[in-house]
Amino acid sequence: MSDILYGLMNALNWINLIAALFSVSAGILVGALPGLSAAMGVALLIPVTFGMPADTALISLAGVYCGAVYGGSISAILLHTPGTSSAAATALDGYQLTLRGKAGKALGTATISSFIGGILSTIALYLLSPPLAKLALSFGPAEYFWLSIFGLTIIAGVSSKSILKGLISGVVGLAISTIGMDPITGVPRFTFGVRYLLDGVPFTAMLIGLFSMSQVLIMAESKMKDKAKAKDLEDKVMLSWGEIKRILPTCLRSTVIGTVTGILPGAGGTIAAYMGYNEAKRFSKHKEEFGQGSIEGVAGAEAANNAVTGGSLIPTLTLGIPGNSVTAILLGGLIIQGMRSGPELFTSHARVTYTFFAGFAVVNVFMLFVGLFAGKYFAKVASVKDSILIPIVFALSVIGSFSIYNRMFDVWVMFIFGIIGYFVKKLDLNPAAIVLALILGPIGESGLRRTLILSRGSYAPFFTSTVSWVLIIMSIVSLFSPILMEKLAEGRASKPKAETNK
Amino acid sequence: MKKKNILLMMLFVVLAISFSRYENINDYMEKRAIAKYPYKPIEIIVAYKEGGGTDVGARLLASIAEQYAEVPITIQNIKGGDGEVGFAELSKSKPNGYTIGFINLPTFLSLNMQRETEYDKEDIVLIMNYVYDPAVLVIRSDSEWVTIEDFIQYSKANPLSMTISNNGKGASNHIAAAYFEYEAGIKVTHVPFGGTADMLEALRYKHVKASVAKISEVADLVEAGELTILGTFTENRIDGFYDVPTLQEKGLDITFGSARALAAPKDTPEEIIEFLRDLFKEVVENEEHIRQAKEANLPIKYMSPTELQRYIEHSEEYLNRIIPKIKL
Repeated sequence: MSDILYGLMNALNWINLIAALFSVSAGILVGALPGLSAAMGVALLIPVTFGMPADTALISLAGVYCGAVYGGSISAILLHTPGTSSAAATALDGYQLTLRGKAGKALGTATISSFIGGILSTIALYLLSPPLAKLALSFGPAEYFWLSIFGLTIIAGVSSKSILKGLISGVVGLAISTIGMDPITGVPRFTFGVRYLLDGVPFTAMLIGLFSMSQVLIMAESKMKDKAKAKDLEDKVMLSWGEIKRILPTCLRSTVIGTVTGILPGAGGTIAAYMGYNEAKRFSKHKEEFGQGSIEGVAGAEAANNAVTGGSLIPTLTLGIPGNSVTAILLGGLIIQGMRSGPELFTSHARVTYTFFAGFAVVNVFMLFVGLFAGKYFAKVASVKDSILIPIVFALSVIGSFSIYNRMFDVWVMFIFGIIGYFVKKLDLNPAAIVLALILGPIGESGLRRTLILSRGSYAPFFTSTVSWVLIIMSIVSLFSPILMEKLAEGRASKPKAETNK
Repeated sequence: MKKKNILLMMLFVVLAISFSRYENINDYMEKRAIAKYPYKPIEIIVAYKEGGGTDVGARLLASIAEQYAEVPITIQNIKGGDGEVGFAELSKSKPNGYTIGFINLPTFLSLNMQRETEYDKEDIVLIMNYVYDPAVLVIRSDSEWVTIEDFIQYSKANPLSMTISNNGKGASNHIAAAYFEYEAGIKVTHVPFGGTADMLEALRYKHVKASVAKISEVADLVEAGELTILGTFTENRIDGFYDVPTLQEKGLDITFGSARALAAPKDTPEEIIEFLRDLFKEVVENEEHIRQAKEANLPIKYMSPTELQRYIEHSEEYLNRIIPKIKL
């Protein structure tokens, strides 16, 4: 308990407050700019957090994460181009409101519901992380093996477009993860005598390449054109009490959807936002407004995708299994700070962890205020030309990858993975699945081999513990989840039709 | 023709003069740089990650040394390959006194015996030894064994069922555990983990039965009552753990530990090396340093360059003798 209080006080330390304010503003900016994603923002920030104390560093990363997820809604509402993919559902009703001169209402709804989703998911983070971390105590090598298998089965579900492409992405990630020293015998594998590869391909540089440099190439390829400019708002960015009361039930429902979706590895903000939107429509008393500019629709999507942020941190911190590409990068930041996911976060690192949790709440509060008072200005920046954006991101990518170890090798790695990332996007493969496989591969491999060393070659220990069996069953369910989801989606889609037929 | 020849001659003379002068200037600049040393920040390479034992010690040492050197002393963590990347970086750095680094023994020597490494042990000049951390055999306090005799007896009766975690195949704790196994005449199962933290976690959460660790890594856990030391790999009993017997007392002729020493790249000017040797000797003896080291559980053991050289030769001989025996 004292650690929780200490964390709260420490998060209110001025340096942490400044970090939260700056990072959340930077995050909103990254999110509002179409083409720049939360993953890219967090990847670029990691080198900057190197010199910071662990708690400040983590709060900054969380700030960019939350800010970017929210910021996507600004350009979705004002320009009809979602800044991040998870804001696509927000654009449905948000832009309709803008067309009717109610852009301020839409922005206000997005801001307040994002805040509610984010702050309530923080409570989930506080309540669910410690027990789950305790559960991690019973994880031996065999259980870690199954955990990694479970995570890998989810890759099939991550890519909503095609299972085959998801699997190809997973295999690419697994293949890259075999580079470096063998985790058991220490024999170098596929390093070709390059000593910088002994510990595997430099992780942060690779991520900056996959998520930032690749985007530079994509943006540079398409014809530079002036973007639509946001008009000045006609109304205030605020909601009346009545309107807040109206969206509150929707927000709460979407928060639950978002938090649960976030905890499940593989499912991310985009899925949660659409689910939140659909459920908002299903329960609404004003169904006819949906698609024509409903504040409930905006709230349903925005509360859900911001609730994902807190939810997705839970498995990342407790089990070391990130649910999406942003938390995968955050996990990298955690390791750089000398912390490891698992029960130790709540024992020897408890102070830093609880400072981080409290900071997460602070970040959401700042997001509310920055959004309400300055949201419309971010929209102006969102229409900045690609010819300005491209060189900035390019320079940040080079500086960021170089500054990790002050060596050119990482910059080359970044460029190579920028080119790989370009083709990944062109071929419609899934960069999130690549990163997930990259993290899960070594966990699975060493789990498997360590179990066999302990059992002297017997496979029996894989099937002895309850945790193993739970993970095996979850893996099987997850393998068939794409088929299940399809069935569910069909059911959903047919229902409204049936109603109109009546 | 003649004009051309004259021109060529002149060019040659100018070149010759400028080259000879260049050499002199170079020489002169170098001497001046040595006289002015240190006038810019000194970097200490640590071959392991932030927050690890080597890193904590290095940061403490640097913070005190700054006051003596009057220039900032920074830590650069270059991890990877069990330390190989950092050791290689140190040995290939410019020998101007502004990059020095820690070498970890016996890893610095044993890596070289196990695979072809990118550094050679002759590539460095020794400054001093800083820390000596003796190895200990630990079990959980709720284990069924109370003494080392029980432990050995159980292992003899149940070959290979005794599981001992270590911090990587061929890493220092593995060498220590394997040597103990050999001397005690038992057969155990060595289980490699990714690092010291993972290795101890495996023991604490009951995935293995025992572990060989360094005293500073387990001191807190032993004091908290969670782990128990069965024996120490030392000649004399360890300060603060007087009730724990040494393995030698039990008839096992083993001493083992890891040392962390400061070194500079080969060819660093003699004057600078002397400067650094004097500087760090003073730092180690500084009272504030001694106090903080005690707080951080750092077993400081100063060794002069000659003592350290002797220690390295001794360890090498020792490793050459035991590595074939324990078949790593």
